[in-house]
Amino acid sequence: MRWLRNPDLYAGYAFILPWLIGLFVFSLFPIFFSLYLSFTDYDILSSPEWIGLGNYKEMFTDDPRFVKSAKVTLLYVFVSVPLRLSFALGIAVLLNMKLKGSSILRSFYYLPTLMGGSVAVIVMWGQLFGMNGAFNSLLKSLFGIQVSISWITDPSTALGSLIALSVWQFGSAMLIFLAGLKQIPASLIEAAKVDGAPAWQRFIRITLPLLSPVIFFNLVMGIIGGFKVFSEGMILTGGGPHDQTLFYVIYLYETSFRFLHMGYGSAMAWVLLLAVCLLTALVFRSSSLWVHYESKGNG
Amino acid sequence: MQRIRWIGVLAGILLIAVLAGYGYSLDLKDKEASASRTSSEPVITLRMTYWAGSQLTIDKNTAVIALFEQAYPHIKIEAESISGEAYDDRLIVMAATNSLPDVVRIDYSNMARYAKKNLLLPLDPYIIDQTIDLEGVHPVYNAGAMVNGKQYGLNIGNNALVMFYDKELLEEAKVKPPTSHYSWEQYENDLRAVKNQTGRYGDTHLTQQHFRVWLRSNGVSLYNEAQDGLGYEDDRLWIEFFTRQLRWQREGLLTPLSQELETRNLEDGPFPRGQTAFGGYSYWSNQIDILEKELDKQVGLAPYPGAGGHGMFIKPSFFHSIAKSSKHPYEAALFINFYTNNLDAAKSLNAYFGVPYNPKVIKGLQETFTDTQRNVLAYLSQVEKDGSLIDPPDPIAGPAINQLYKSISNEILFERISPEAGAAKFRMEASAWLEVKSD
Repeated sequence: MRWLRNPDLYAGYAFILPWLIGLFVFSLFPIFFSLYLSFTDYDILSSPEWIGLGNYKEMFTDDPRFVKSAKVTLLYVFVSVPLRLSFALGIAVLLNMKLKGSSILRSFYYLPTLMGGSVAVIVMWGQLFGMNGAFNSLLKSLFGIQVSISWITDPSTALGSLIALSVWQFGSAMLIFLAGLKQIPASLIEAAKVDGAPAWQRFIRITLPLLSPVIFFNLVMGIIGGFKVFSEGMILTGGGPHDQTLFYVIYLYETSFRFLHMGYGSAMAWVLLLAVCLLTALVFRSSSLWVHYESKGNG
Repeated sequence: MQRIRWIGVLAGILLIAVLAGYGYSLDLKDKEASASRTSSEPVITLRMTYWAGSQLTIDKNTAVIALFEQAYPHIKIEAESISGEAYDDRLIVMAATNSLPDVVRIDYSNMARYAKKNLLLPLDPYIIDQTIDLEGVHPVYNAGAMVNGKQYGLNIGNNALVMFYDKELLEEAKVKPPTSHYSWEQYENDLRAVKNQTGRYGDTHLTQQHFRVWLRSNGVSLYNEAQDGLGYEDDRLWIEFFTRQLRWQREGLLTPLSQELETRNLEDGPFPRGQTAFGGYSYWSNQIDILEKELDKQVGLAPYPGAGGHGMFIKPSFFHSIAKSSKHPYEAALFINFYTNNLDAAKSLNAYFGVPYNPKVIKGLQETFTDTQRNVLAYLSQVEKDGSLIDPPDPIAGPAINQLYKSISNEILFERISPEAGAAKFRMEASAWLEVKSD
């Protein structure tokens, strides 16, 4: 029991006390309460009723909208994440070349991300790509094409326009790539140049492998963020038209707060957590095949 | 070393204490500020929530609150407005966390549910002691808030669904303004005439409200009496309803659906922008102020096409209820009575939240009513004469069914599935919600 008398311990805990209280009261308690709720039928106004695995069973056997929302979200993640990363990487490589004004351009490209998550930008996106939006009038004045669809609310383009919104917010991934590019020793590139390797070969053989830890990081963050996508869909499309943009979390919200099936919504949240964990684990597993750590290579 | 660590602990505790003290003093400052306003009587603050689909709604509500605070200086009202579907979500969260405001503005469809869950205070004692004055008021106007023999809410004003129309555009198209018992055939001809004569669209697509009125005019309803299944047997009603719209859509008589889906608030949308001659949408009669303000001209009011003899109905725009958890129910009762029955409040509102029904208020308003209000009043008495009683409040599964309707309606109108397939899908999925998930 000597540790009890150790003032170090008290000092440490005293300092992190506010954070600890926050963790227990506002994070851990709700998380485990929702685990409990996921095994109940709970309509918010009455007390929860234990139904065992009923919610989980219903989800996988008897709910077409659950399946639809899972499909929409997977499609969104698998298309938007690679697109955004390649876009971010491309711009980062361009900015890494020592061009005049590249620092101004850098801040410029980061702007959309700064404003990114805000509701105002999402609403603006809706107006740009609306029926009478700037995009359609641009098409008309530049190419003389008269387009009379709303990219946001037409079922064939709705998901695409939300993916475009996510690609447009490439700034933070770009900055991380840029930092990674700066780390690559110029000597390696120069050596390859001397040996006569063309630019594309230098990029594929040297830059990409040395950048792979950064790509890995961005990929993991992108996947996790992609599964949690909510506000864009909620504000622009509300999950419509006819569930074409019904993201998982939108359906979760609808079920919990609009249809008052809080138990079912909680179960959905846990399934989402498991799915994200599983996919992240897969990416980590695969990393030994393609992620190259410089220190290991040298060591 | 030891000493330095103890200093660290003390510093940490001190920091927390200082921060907490600062927070508390901020709190105090707030209380002092409000207390200094009236030194004699303690100020009572009531919270209220209300639904607002436009800035005009907020302004109108704020004006009534100002009048009330003038009349009762010791009561202060803190009002919070929430727009769109989020209103119901917020109320339910407040209810679950026992933090409902003193005065809750609550829709007909939710009234019974909240009352049955014991969240609201019965108003009967205040009606008996005349804090809430219902003398001479016909009970039918407050029947929607009568649950198990007790009165749980006070109707703010009466409403009806309405199809607005642009008088000038109809004249230009040489179309006679619609009257009661307006038929689908006449409506279709009129849409076509508008398109041909003016080049504008006839109307927006029909909504779930139209479908429900159409069912009512055929003597059935969306839900059966027990609310554990759909209330109509014959899917031809659904098929006919959508086949018509597809025909008009192909002829270009209706605004493009994807444009309608962009509509975000009441000021928005094809009708207030002058793009259509008819404004069906799912407008309620009290929204006339917003539309006339946008169009800058008077609009006409007509019942839905195909509404027949039973379709239309009168609905309370909203009820005011008092939360069971309220610490100042008497003051809340004063407020909700003021809102509905005070002549100054009624003059300021000018029937914005529906037409008043208290005979004393109506009498007092006669001189100040504008043409618009007279038109609404005339329209409502026509609906009262031609229509029938409102359907019972929706079952618990109501929001899910509404979502389902919207989704399948879009699927049909974007021509992804046929009306027949849509009818079957709606019946199957709606029945599943109603059978399993209603209680």
